[in-house]
Amino acid sequence: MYRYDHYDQVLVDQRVAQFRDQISRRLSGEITEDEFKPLRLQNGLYMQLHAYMLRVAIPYGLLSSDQLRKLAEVSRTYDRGYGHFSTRQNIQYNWPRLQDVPDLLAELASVQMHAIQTSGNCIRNTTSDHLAGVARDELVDPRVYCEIIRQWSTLHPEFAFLPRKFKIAVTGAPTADRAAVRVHDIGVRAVPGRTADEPHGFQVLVGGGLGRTPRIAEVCREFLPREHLLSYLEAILRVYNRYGRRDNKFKARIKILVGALGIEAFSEQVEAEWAQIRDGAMQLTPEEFDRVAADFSDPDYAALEPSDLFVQSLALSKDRALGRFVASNVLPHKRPGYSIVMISLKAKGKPPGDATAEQMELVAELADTYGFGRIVVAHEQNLVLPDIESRHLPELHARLSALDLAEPNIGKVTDIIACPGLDYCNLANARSIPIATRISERIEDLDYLHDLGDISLNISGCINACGHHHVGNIGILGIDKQGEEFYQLMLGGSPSDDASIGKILGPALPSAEIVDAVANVLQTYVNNRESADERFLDYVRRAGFEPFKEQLYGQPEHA
Amino acid sequence: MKLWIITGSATESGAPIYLQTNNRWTHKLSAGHPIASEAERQSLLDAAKAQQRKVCDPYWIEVRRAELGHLAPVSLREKIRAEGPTISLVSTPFSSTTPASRPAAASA
Ligand code: HEM
Ligand code: SF4
Repeated sequence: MYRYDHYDQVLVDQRVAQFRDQISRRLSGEITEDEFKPLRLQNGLYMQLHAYMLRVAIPYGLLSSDQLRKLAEVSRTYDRGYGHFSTRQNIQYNWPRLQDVPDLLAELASVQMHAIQTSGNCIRNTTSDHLAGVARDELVDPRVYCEIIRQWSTLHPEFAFLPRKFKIAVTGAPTADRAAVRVHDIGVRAVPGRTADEPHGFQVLVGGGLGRTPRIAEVCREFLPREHLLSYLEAILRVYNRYGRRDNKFKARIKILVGALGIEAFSEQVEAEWAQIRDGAMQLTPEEFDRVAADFSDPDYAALEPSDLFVQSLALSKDRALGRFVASNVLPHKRPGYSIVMISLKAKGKPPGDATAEQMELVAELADTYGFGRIVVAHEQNLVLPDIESRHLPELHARLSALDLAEPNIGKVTDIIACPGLDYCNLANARSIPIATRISERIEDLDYLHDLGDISLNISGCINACGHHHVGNIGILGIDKQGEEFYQLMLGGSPSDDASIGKILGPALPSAEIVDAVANVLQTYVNNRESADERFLDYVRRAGFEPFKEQLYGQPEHA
Repeated sequence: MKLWIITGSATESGAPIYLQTNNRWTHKLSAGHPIASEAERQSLLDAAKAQQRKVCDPYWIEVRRAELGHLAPVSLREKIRAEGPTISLVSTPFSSTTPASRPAAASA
């Protein structure tokens, strides 16, 4: 794992001291809320409906067991004993008191964590594939580049006041985007070299995003030699910083600029800027790459026999709880004898993405006992134990079950991504979490859940789309209709290589009807799919909306 | 007749607080001072804004008289704000010794 060097630690410690001073001036009345707001937002401190909220970055989602234990301890000491893992590999604390925030941040700094650049109009936490380093389909470990981007973007003076927030995601697996790169301001995809002896490079996508104007990113450059990654990113940010709209918050994201200029004109600007700086100090030398890559080298894997057949047999185990868990939550590892274990934070009836201090401590302990002390946060709001010897799977399953962490639903329709919604969020129109818990309680039959296959369901409590509802196979958006909570139902979205924005199925439904409507949509799919191999998304793309409308609203599309 | 209360977030905790008389604040909406005229609403809002050390971003909300004459918020947002999240939190209930626990009523 990457360890802070002297510069990182000094920078983070100094920031804690600076913010401590700013907070004490706010508490004494020396500065007003209007003066304090931009300062607290630079440090990830928001104001929600009931309390402050602190957002802590988990760079590329990677945590050591000590870091996870610290996150648990902090939640118990300064919050209410739980944290919320978000869709951008951050953790959010919902109840910190202002006076406690400096101590909380000092605790985090002691394990090399911080909240810098987790809000505000700057470059946010660079996110990545949660299977980075262990996936079989990976070309290169994306975390090395994420770390290089983190070092470049942290307190980069030129990009501290961008027109709007800026989000970058990197994937190292050319055929399986698990980092949603196409809905980011910049998406970086590792791709093979153009000739046999050229090393890998990047396809650079730009202008993706959700919110009120959802947009899929377009290709800005087909192939970027890897040594130029930083200078090319810098060129994109310069063009955005210069031409991005600062007059209208709703038109300030880079996606609007790319849309207005067109991708050709935009990339011409970028290329012109890049020509000025490409051969400068930002070139990534092999030595620099190796220096950072050394921190992401493999742990001491044992030489084991392949275990794929063993894992398959576990999936068919007579112990159905274990069998279902292995079938949906265990993924193949690049090394023989090992497995990747996904821990669902979507237990029936529980808020998606929330974990208690006890749960975090258990996961940290399991990572130490059965893995190499590493845990990853997935953007689907789940946790990953990346290096488990397959022979330990039954034991691990039993231990996870004890704390409600063995829900066998990864990738299934109850693996719901949901934003905090009106239960916490200042900007919300409607609640998200109760819709998620009601859906998960409704789909009780686990055989039915598994028979439905892989379906993503995403819920946002307002148009800002923090729950990525546009790219859920099923998307739900909360709206306010004369003081009542209503929900729009969308179908057909995807965040992956086949990225698409979902479309609205029909008139919005009241809260009392939305769960039935989802059940109805699922049943329509089951009744009409060609076979169990036809995924929900493929069925929607093939059959269109008509069968769903007919079943749900009782009218065919062209009636 | 419409009724309003001035509210904002307490600087020290971010918790919702409601203006009483004499520039005092309470954590209990029903103990807030009901305002019946737009003129009073504006003058109390101005007074609240002047208390910037105690309160962040004060604004007014509409309230109504519910059972037994208790004041209750009109909008769902303010109801959730006043009563807390509508979902069961994943953790065990926090104890009164937890620093983050919110007092039921206090003059902030
Ligand atoms: C205090 C709570 C939050 C506030 C005030 C907030 C605010 C916003 C706003 C205003 C946007 C729209 C930005 C735009 O379109 O330009 C947005 C987008 C987004 N937020 Fe949040 N958010 C909050 C919590 C969260 C949480 C909990 C998550 C993760 C679960 C999250 C993840 C995202 C994502 C992924 C997007 C859309 C991607 C994009 O930027 O285009 N946010 N948020
Ligand atoms: S989508 Fe809206 S309601 Fe949900 S967290 Fe984002 S801003 Fe809040």
